[in-house]
Amino acid sequence: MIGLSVFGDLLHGFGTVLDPMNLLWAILGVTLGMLVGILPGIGPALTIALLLPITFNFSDPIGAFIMFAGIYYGAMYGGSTTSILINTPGESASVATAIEGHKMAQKGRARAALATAAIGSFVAGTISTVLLTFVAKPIGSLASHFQATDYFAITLLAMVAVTAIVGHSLVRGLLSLVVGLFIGLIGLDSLSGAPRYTFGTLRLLDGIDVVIVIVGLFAIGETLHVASKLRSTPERPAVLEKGRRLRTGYLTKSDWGRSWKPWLRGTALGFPFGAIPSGGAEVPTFLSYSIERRQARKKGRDEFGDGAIEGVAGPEAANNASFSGVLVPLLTLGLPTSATAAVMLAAFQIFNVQPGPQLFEDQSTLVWTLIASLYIGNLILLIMNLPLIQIWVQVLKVPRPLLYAGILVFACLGVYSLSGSGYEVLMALVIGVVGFFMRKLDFPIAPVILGVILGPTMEEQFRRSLVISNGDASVFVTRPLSAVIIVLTVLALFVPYLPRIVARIRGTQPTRDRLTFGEDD
Amino acid sequence: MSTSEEAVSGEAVEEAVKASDVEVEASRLVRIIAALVLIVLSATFLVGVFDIRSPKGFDPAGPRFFPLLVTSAWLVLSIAYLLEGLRSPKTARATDRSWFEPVAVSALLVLYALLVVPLGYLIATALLFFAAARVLGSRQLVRDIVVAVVLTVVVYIAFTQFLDISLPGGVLGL
Amino acid sequence: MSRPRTVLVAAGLTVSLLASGCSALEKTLDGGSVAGDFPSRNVEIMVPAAPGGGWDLTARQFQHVVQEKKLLGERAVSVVNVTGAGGAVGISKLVTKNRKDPHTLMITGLVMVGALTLNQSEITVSDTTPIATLTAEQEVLVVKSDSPLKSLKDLVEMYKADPSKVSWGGGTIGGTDHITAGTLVKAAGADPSKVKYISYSGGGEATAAILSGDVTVGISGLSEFEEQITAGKMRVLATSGTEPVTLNGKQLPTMKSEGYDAEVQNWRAIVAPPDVPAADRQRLIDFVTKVNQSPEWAEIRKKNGWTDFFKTGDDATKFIAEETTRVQGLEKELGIL
Repeated sequence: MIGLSVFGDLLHGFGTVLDPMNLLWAILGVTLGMLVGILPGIGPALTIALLLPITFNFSDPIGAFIMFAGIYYGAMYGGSTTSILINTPGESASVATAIEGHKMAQKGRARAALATAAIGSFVAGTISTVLLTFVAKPIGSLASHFQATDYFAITLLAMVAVTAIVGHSLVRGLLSLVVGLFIGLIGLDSLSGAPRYTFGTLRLLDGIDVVIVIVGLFAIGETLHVASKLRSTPERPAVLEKGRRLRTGYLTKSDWGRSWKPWLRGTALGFPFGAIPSGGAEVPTFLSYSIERRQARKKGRDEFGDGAIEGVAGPEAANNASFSGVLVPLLTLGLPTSATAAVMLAAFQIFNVQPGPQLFEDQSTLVWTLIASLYIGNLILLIMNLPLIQIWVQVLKVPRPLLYAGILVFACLGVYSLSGSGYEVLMALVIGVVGFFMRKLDFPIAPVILGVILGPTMEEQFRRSLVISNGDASVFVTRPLSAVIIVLTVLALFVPYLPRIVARIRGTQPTRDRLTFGEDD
Repeated sequence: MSTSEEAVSGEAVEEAVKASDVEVEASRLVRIIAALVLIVLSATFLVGVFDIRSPKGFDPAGPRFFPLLVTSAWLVLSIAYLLEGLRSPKTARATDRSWFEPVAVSALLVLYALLVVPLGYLIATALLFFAAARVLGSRQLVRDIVVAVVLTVVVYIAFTQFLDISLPGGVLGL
Repeated sequence: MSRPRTVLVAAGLTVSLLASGCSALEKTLDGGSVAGDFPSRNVEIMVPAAPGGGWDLTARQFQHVVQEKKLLGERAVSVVNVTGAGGAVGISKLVTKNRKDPHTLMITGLVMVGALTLNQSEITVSDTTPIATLTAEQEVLVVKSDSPLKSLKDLVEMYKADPSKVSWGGGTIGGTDHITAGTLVKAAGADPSKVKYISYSGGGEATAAILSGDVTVGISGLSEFEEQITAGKMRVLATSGTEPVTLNGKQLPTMKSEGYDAEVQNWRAIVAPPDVPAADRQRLIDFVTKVNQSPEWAEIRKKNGWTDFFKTGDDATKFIAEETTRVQGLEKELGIL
């Protein structure tokens, strides 16, 4: 009869959310989240942190949490909008979206890209909230079984599995990744307290915030790149496909056909990755991108790198699904597994609500209202956004000098608000110059972000495992869970080469003679 | 672009595709210089590994192990990139790329970083927007000034009043 | 979200664009500080860390009380976050940029003392003008509920038998949690340099590591583990303060009551920049005392599980200096300095 009680609780939750005042908070949250989330450098976590003080005056935490859910979805979608339209993702989770999304916009398919992102977010958000509703408790307890060796194995698997973002050239792709890993090394080593590559400056002790890297490489790098091409490419009118009727959500029949599977696969990736500690939204978005790319190639329709709708649909769904996933350990164990969750936890605490094993019993109304508000938040986002797409695409019509001057202003603002000093602006500029040359020399940008995000986690968990085992490296293979993941990693690494290896063994001529990472060259 | 539905997109789209596809393959010389820079950087950082305070030396559980791996890999890849560059054909493309704008924009950002606190957010940001728009080719003086001022004031009010982020008041003494 | 205020500012902005040039210039030349008559303008509380942590919460709750009770009259209090290196960036800004200015205050605490010593920073908390220590939070040592360790003594015995068998999980290296581990081991007469300490970012990560059995014992602020303790997933070995804490109607043992002469308080304080004139310093002390005495602040303390740890002026200065010396010594003994 557990199922029934869940329904009852959820209905009760809906009853609370559908109160006009609460509905208003949800709408306000989505709007605010979208407005702030659009700014480069200000992702969902920072948006919630910034908007947190507004809720201090709420006497009732329920209204506040409904608003947070709205803010989160709004901010997330706001980030995708800029990724797609002007190739300036605001945070790491929308980097994968930018790769194909911006290409689509360049081809005049901005509406379709925004629509598949919005609808995919809705589908993924709804499915993953259903999952959250019914399996929160069992999945939640799973998260507390992961040990350092398992985390290490997972990051290793993620690193290998997302090699599709490496791009056309193995050397350049890996160079990008290595530079990202190096940036991740900068700062105080968390495990020993030793400063690394800080060059004696205080500023670098905390390392370089991934937001600065993203804003630098994308927003500033892109602006410099555009600046250098001004004279050779005359300003051309914005290209937009003929607008389709809203009724079909701006998507053609074939768009729908190509989007729904990536949405579902993205959801399947996002939810569990969100639920494991140190998971978050980045890994599943990159994974989803890689998988969609592989799927597309299998079908012999490889538009990737040239604006493939699957490359937008999948990561966006994964991104959104991961949020419900993140809520699982947060609500059931009180474990924040991502930056956003950490801010949410702080918000809970301000209202004197302590998430954890007791939460579902102690604060039943609040939890179910929050879950119900996720459904509503998703719906509001979709309802608001499909018509708004018409307005968003107008961004493309802003004259180029004003658009990019504006991007610079907002990039500086986002970076400045991180720490309140011009220093971070300089740092973002240095990284922006790097991004400029990477564009000139055709280096892929996404692997840098991947390195910055995954590198530190990977190193930390690797070293923690070794410290705990007193230096015994066998821990990585003696623990069943870790061993299984590591075997998967090895498979993921070699499967692409299997046909070639088999061919060699048979003595026949391999089809390709150059090693590429499962890439068309 | 295989399905018939997509074909309706029209000629404008096709034009755009062509235009955006003119991504530059950087000239051989630039690539070789970049490779050399990368080699110098990675080698410096590789040597820098020895400066990391580590009671355990190069123990895998210590703070030097990963930097060693990363910088070595970086060096090896940089050398590979150099070789790739040297082997590439000498088709020096006439670069129609201008260096003035990116350098000017960078200089603006440096100035902005230095001046945003003393001058204050409003003045510094309005100047940044205006100057950047001019550098990026805008020729409508009045429009640029109006947009710069309005945008900056709106952002300032939204952030300081609504989001409670403090932005420098500077000489306006706000 | 006050609309009238926004409109007012918008109007004021346009006027001041033209009008305030004169006074502004004067102010810049003056170095931006008006000394001797606190509060002569709005007060800024700097949080040397990101939003969301203990310092941030302290500052924002403090701000809340001041606004609520209008303790500064017409003047407002704003909170600014200056992140970086465990507070090192914030304090260096306070010490170098805000000399003599009583309108810029900063939240600090034991964690910053630990971080500054570890970074071998030239600036220390003693370079500021301490106004008052505000609150203290208890540290707690916990094990997973199915751990064979039943008491603090079991833990200490296990450590003494083989230090490499005990992994201690907590926050940043050299922070309060690490210091607590060192203080306990030292009080037990064992060698602190053998402490196998594994740092995690934030209580969440540490909680996961304790529950998954990655670490033998976890150390953090009581509030971080409270929920898990109540749910019966973790067992408390000891708390770190002088006064025993009662949780769910049960009195928890302290390190002292378990027979180890060790005490750690995760205190937080509010400080002003160096060289604040004596008169302003006194006014600041009076102001902070008013906040501390308000029933609102007492309520906030209770809500967050903070104990009253109020020392002002010279007492606070002396206390901070003592803590700095102690932490420095301990970090050496832990072998991290």
